[in-house]
Amino acid sequence: MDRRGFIKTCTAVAAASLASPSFFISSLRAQEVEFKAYKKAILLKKDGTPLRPEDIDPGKQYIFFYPHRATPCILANLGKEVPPADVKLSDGTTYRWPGGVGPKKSIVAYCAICPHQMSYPTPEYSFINYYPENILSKIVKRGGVIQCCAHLSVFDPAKGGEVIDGPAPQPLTAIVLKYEGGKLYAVGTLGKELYEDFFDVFKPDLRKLYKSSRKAKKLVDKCEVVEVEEYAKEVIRC
Amino acid sequence: MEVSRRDLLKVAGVGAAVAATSGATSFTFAKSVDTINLPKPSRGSARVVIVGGGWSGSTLAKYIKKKDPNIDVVLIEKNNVFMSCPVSNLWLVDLVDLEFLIHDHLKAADKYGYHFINAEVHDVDRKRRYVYTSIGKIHYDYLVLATGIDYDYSQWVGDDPKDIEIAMKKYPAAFKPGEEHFRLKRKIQDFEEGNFVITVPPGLDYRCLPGPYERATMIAWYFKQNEIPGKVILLDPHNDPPVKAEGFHKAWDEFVKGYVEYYPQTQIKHVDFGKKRIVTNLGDFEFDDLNLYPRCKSAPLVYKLGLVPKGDRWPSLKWPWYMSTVDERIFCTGDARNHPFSKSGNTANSEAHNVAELIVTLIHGKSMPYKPPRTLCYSGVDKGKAVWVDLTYKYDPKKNSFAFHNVKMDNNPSSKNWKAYLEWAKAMYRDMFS
Repeated sequence: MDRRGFIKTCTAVAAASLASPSFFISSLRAQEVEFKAYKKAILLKKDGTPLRPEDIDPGKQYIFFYPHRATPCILANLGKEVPPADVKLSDGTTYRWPGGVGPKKSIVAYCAICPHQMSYPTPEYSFINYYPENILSKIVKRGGVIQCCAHLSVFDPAKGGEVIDGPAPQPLTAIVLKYEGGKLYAVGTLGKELYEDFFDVFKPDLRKLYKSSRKAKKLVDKCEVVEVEEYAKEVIRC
Repeated sequence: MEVSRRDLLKVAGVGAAVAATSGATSFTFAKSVDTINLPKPSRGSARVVIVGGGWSGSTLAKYIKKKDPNIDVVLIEKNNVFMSCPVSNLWLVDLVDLEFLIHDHLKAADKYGYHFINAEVHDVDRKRRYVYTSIGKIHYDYLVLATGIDYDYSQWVGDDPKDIEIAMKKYPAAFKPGEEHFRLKRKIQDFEEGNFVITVPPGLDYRCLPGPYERATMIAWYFKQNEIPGKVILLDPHNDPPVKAEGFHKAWDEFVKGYVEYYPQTQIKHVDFGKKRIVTNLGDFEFDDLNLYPRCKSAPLVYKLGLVPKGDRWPSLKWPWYMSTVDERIFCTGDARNHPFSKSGNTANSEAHNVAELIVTLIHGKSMPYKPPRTLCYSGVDKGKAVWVDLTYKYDPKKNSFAFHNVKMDNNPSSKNWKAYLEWAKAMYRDMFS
């Protein structure tokens, strides 16, 4: 958009928001659920070489940080083709989640900040985890879910992160992955982001880990992927 | 099931009839009180005044503003700092520090744009819709009473103000955070030997159903840990703990054996402070110290506004919409309302999310489907071990009653449950204050 176009849009928005205070809120809502592109970041193994789909064990869960240096994501291989899905928010808005990637279209990633009250994996504990098919959630009595044990919210990683059970008011934010030339990349987010609140609420904790908020917020262009069990001293399952 | 403005108007008709015979029309508060001058988001903004900044009121204030910033929200709280009742049993025995429980409203008030007033509410003019506080009066369109609980000593102590004062000062219940908790903690630390008696209120309408059992267990743990030759005597009118019974029994049989004596089906008839004994259907229990948790009732303001029917202890509400049956502009939430929901922090918080949506919806003249609250409740049963129960509620409109729904529990004391307990609390505080 050129400067003239931008000013024109701003004027229209200002006029509409004066007429109806809810206008501004609803237009923001509409934007929130669109795909948001960030730096294209390659997923790497610990040794610095590109992570290949066959490196992702369907029986395990992995963590990487994207789009910011401090924002955790869960990576999982669901072991089967995961088709695209429509994801619905509580206000009725829906968006299309593109499904799994990789040769079997089985690899998915989600922001690992719980949309209920923002529990997230730290080097001490991981309360929000992926339960592979062989590890049953005691809450929904099955595997293949992402679950937060702080308040027992359960999400479906095969359905764009939609809420299956518990108090979470919205789905997990999806991390959009691309599979190109045998390599995996994170390219953006889809769904309602929680990053602004996350950086506000956890400022002291993040400063301990990253020295400053600025460093914690830095956008990344490559992501090291490790097993959650390796990242956190204790994985809390329920 | 949905609520709409039409439902409200039906209630208003009932309200008008009842109000004519209640104390509401004889309001005689001084007219010269200054009006508290607070800016509104816009001239036509509806104003919601919330009395009580506990788990319910704090959540409501934030989430009404989050859902519609154009609504003016005023939160009035008499204490000048928030102290959490959930998790306080762990603080009593030094397993979390005070900073864990203490929080402020100012950050959330600033971030989400609600007004926070540190004042006491004396009265409400329901007809003109003014709340009278210790610093002035303020007009409301909707009023929420999130006023928590009060103690009813009439059953066990009697009506003599001298005895009630002894109960409150010497043997505080410590389920209203603040002074009472500090007094109880000092009593635990001072205890050298003998019987430390804890009472469980009758019924299911007391604050925190597992609270007295968790407290008894953790104090017993403290005695054991510090080699204090004493034990906790737990006097309970119920047949068994109403929740997490299996988990508590495990703790008493394994972790604190010999430090807890549990007496179910104990009907307390009288507490004799002079002779330091409790008279019950099972005989007399002598105490060296006592944590007297009596029956609960509504806060005085709820009575004063004429919302509590004669002979009752809780406001009459139009279920499941939380509004008073005598005044459609007044909602009672959190522990200020009676059953069917347990009086717990998680219930108050999740319910407040729903009531915030309900109030915003009504202000917009729309309708919404009913949403039940949720109760996820952890209890410590040893240092580093906890159990939990999680449930929601199902409303039957024909019977106008609720039943527990989707009940899950983990009665196996574990360290992961303890860690989840602390994370549960931290996340709840985040939800209210960040």
